[in-house]
Amino acid sequence: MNLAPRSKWLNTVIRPALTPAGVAALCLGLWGCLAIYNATCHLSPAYRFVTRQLVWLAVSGVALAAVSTRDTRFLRRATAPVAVMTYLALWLVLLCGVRVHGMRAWFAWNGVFIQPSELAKPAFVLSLAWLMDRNSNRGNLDWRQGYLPALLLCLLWILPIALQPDFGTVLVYVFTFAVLYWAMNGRLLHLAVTALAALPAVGLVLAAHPYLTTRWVAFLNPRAYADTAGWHILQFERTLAAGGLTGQSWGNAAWSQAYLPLGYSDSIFANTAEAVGFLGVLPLVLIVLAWVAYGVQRGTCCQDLFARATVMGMVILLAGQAFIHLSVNLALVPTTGITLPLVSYGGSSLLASITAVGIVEAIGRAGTRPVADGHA
Amino acid sequence: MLKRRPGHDDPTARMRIVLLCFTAWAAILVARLAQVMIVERQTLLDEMAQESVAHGRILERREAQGRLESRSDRKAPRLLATSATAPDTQSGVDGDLPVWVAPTGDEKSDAFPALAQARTKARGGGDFASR
Repeated sequence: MNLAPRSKWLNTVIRPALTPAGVAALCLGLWGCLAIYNATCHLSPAYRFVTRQLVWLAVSGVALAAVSTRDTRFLRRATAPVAVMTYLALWLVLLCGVRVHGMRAWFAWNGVFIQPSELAKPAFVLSLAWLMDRNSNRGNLDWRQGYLPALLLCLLWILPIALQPDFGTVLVYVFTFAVLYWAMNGRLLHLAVTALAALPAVGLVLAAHPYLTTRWVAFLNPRAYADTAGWHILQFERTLAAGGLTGQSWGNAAWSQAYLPLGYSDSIFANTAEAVGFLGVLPLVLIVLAWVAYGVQRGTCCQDLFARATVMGMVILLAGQAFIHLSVNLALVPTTGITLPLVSYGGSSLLASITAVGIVEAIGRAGTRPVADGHA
Repeated sequence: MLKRRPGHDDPTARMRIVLLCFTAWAAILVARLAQVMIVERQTLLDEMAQESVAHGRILERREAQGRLESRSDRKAPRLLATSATAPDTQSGVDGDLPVWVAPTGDEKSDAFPALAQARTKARGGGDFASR
């Protein structure tokens, strides 16, 4: 009797969401729950973090289904309102957000924490893609009409985040902007000139926040600062060494549980590496690479610049953030706080990452069809 | 007619270059993983054993001073006080990631219960000391 509506619901909502990347993202989210359990099972109560993450994973699954079924035209129309709302939230959190770890970046309500700078990531990419598409000259981005507006938009997005201050997230935004601009036929010279022009601003930021300089100094010689700013870098190395080739076992990552701060979020890769070893975390690197390859394949099928830039932007955003997280955890770059997308604890990060995957799938599915109101 | 740079009008070429760059980045990450987790592992384990023993000594000193109250007495790496960078907070952190410093033995926290396990290991040599 109810077979017809159920079948319609399955065909219109569930099946479009069950794309290769969508399923992989949900599986990675579940794997992240295991990693979070590994990092927090010694706390009391042991399941507090992982239970919350599972709830957020369920919410993210609904968001994935909702976004995956949309088409490019809907996303194009939704860009402006979504971008405006999330951008206002970035400023609002500076006024009425709560301060955690020294930065005012969360709305807190009855124990639920929302981080607008995470939720804004897909909106940031959508707005950039929309602007590039609008201002491009037959697919090319010149200095005045293509680059400067995009740069201004990027600066507008990162300003409230820098004021929190959350320089790790600022780094992800800037990286995404620069790589996306270049990938969409932008000129490297534009980026180089901007980097040079930004040097005085970087100097001012370093002067205002001396700990950033300290981190660089400690990164260059962590053992000289073993008891201070080099502590975190040394603990990353030691945690990885404790893992070895095959690792300890789930829940028995004693070194990271004892010494490594934030093992469930900003240090989750090292924490997991101790539990599953070199062979256990190697697939994670390959999954990120597979995601980039998948995104490039999807992007090349897109007919207009908005779709192509959105797909590549989401791919660069997630893959870049993942590799920056890995680079920090492997002590290849100075320490900064960046979560591993889909894996680290944090509902806002998980929701934003899975939404980004859903957007790629939505555009990729419709990518071969020309958009009626496009500017291509 | 102006001569265009190679790949300038071909968006797929640049996207493939992006993939190539990510592949190179992944290769660097895997190489570093192998370096820390396999090649330099023994050196780091020796270093960890020393730290683990030193850690145990701190706790033993506290115990001798009667400051170790129970088996559940634990200590954690203490937060580096950075009042200059976070003047309006007592959390002792400096922006987007807390900076932690080595334990001194003067702190007690429930944040890292596994240190109790590490303490036991440190006294008897422990897993890290025996490797």
